[in-house]
Amino acid sequence: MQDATTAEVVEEAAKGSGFSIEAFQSPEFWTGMGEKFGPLAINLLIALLILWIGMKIARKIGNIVKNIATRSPAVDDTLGNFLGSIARYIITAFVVIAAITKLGVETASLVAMLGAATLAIGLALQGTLGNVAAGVMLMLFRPYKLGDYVNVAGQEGVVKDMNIFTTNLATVDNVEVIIANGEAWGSTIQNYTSLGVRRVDVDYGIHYDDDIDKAIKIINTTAAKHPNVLTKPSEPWAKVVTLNDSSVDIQSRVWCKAEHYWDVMFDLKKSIKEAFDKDGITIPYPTSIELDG
Amino acid sequence: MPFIGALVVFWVGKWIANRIASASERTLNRAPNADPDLSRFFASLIKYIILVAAVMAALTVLGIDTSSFAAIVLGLGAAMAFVLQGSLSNIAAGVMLMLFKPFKLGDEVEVGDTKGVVTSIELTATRLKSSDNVEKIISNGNVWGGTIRNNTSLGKRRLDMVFGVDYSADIDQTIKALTETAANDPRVHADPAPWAKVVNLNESSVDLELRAWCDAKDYKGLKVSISQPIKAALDKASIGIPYPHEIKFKQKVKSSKARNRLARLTKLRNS
Repeated sequence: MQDATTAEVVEEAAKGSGFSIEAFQSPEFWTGMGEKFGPLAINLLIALLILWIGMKIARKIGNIVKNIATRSPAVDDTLGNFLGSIARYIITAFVVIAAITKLGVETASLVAMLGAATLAIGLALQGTLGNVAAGVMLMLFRPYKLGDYVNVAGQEGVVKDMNIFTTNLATVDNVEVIIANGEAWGSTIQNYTSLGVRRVDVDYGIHYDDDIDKAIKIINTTAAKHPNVLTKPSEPWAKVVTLNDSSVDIQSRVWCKAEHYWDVMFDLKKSIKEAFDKDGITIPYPTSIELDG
Repeated sequence: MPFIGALVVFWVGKWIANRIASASERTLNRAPNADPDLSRFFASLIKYIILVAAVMAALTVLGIDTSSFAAIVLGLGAAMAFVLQGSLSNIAAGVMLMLFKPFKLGDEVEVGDTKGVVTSIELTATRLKSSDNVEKIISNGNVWGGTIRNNTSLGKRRLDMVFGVDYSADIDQTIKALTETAANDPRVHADPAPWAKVVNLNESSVDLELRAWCDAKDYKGLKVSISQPIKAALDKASIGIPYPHEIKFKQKVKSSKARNRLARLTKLRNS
């Protein structure tokens, strides 16, 4: 076998397997192949074309949706991007199915699978999707905006970030609070900033023997001296609100800008206490009487 | 011949599935807030979906009508979706936690009523460790969708503490003692500077609140070590921290109302 030529080896092999090289050399074989696989090749090309054009269209429509959404003032960028990519992926799914159908593959089961998958994802994301819906509501109706001091779902703080899933607050002692939008939108929202001005209400208890008119005058004049106290919507106000166990309680009501609320409250407590000390108004300790006999 | 064709279709499908899966894993890992576990999970999900499609295609080549499978697939899928709803929603929440990262490993958080340091974030559950070393495992569905408080993420914290002093004490002097003591602690930030103001005119004391900023990691240590130097500083400035006060008067019984009450009480005691 050492001096056997290549032709002899091929002949030998062909004899064993019924394979003949001539079959490939005949033009009938290739036209036969063409008839057999020609439509498949064309379909493959068409499928690829559908895929290519479809993907382009999907991207275009995704961008259009994004642009329209972003241009509208009520919708923020995150939401716009989100809607855009949802539109894009839904169209892409249709395109892929169309391309596979062109290849002659039965897609009914694929569509069913997609349906089942969508159902599963929908059920799994039920809560999250609820949050998205609430997030859309929050962005449309804007019960609070960035920088507002709010009480949402029992959590108080400054709004630091709002996205489609969550609202993030920073509390006064700088703890980050992440609240799902579903909870934020479903609960009572208190916005301490949005109305611009707030009223500071503080009770001062004075001794039963003290002069009430004098105390009221001290409270009002001291309050009026504070630079952040406003005269509108009304001047500082003080009246007796409770005849308490050990003291006559006078409530002071002053208006100030929302951002000065705590400063005004704390400053007034200090300066009114000092003014009381100076003018002989006493803040009494709890007093009780023991009966004898 | 159709058998070989089906086999070829299946193998090609499998090859494509593997390629797309590994490609998508790589792409997902390149994303800015990527998580390797999450990428692998998604990659295998994609792989199996394509594999099922490949099997369907192979069966079509074999000449088996797969449209009847559609109903089975849909039914099975729907049933699985309902049965696994709880677990699936935990996984979905886990994906959200990994994507949006409301906390990271080592953060001190409060999830619902559970407090602790995050020790691991898994696809279905998050593990916390409380300060007294109890492991707390919370399913992700309960973490995402509720309220999360993260004590660490903002970097610095404000320590708020209330100190009650005598009504006779000088308020400005007290404020100075509080803020200076706080400023002397190396952990307290100079900017914003320590702050103290009267927050309450209480029954027996004037209550002042001290607010000092510090690094989030120093918060607990500062909270338990600031009271002692403040007491020392108040003592030095002779500012008293009062006991609860009560003024009692002794009065002879004279009003009929009080007398009647006393008579009733005596009667009760004797009966």
